[in-house]
Amino acid sequence: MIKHKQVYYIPQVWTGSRLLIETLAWPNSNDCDRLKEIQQSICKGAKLIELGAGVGVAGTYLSSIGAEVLITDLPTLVENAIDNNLARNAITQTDDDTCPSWLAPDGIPIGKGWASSASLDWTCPLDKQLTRQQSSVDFIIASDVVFLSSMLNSLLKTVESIFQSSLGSSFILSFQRRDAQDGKESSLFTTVDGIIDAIKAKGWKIDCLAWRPVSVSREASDGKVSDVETEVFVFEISWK
Amino acid sequence: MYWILWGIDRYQYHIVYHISYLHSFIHTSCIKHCSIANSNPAYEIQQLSTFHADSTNLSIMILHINNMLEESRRREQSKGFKCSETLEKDDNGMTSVVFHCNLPDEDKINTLTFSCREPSVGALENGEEAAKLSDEDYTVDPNFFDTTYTMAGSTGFKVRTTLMIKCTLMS
Repeated sequence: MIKHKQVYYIPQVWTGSRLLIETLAWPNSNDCDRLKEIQQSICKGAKLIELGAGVGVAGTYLSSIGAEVLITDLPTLVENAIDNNLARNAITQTDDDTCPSWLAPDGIPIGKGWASSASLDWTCPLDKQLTRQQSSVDFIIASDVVFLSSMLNSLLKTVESIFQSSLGSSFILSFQRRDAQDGKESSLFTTVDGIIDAIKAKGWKIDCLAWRPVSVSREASDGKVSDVETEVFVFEISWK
Repeated sequence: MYWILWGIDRYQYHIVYHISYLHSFIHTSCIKHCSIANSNPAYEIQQLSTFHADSTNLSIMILHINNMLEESRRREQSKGFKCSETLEKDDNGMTSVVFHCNLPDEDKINTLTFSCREPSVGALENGEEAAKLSDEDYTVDPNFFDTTYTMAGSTGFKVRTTLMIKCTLMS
């Protein structure tokens, strides 16, 4: 029987992960004040939860520069991709070898910070999957996890649940535009307009922290692969 | 009176307004920055009109700009940040792509590595080494997904986005 409710994406690195890492971990003199504030907070040990982590690049990277990160995805990805990647990057750069209590007992030292993994299915209630401590964070991060329209609602429901137990937190989402022209016409792919509309409907705020033009390979229905120019964004989404 | 310049783009708009008062030499031009995500032009115009109700001439011009593509938020590649890919075979002969990226503060460790199933998509910049999988490398690992996930199990890791979309639409 095919399990339709779960949507898979191939465990690989997309443009959104790279821009998210650079935006949050590589300060630039042109960064806006809010972004500088976020960067400093992450380096000083902010608590993060990564949603739909895939192979765990963004969360692992941010833990290596000082953050405490709970990296989440569906069980099979946690078991077969994320845990393996955490293990291969486990090394501490600090004298303190005490795992933060909220990541214990399975926290792994990664550079200057800590990371742990947990299974999280957005279609199930958050409180049945994570402890209150695990869902009380400073930032929620996600890299390019809502490329299909069908994913957006369940993601935002999960984010809303985390917001409720993490007052003052914000959600940092990277997103690669995939439709040809963007706009409301695309029924398959999440559009920038689609994200903005969904955020507005919830009464939340959205701001663009960074963007970049990118070139990605796209396979047409006839199997031909060609490079297309598009953009990738890093948004900050927060309660008003 | 007001004019709306529509169509430059859709994510943020600037309201440029000019106020003049009867029997007064006061003429002021202001710019108000608004995000469509958090407000709407009609509401902002109403607010301005109410606030400057005693003015004889309130001219409002709305300039839409593309906030999400605002030039000041554009980020070029970070100097010093480098990524690359290599291929790796495990004990069972499964090939995986290893994605490498260096850290900003190189101390005890300078590079993180991540085992992936397929090469990255658009994540490498010009000149960064990319891995290429051959057809033989697309081996199905029957243990990766749970047995109930037959879509993935039957097609291995070379599941194309189009296939996933079709299955999603069927649900």
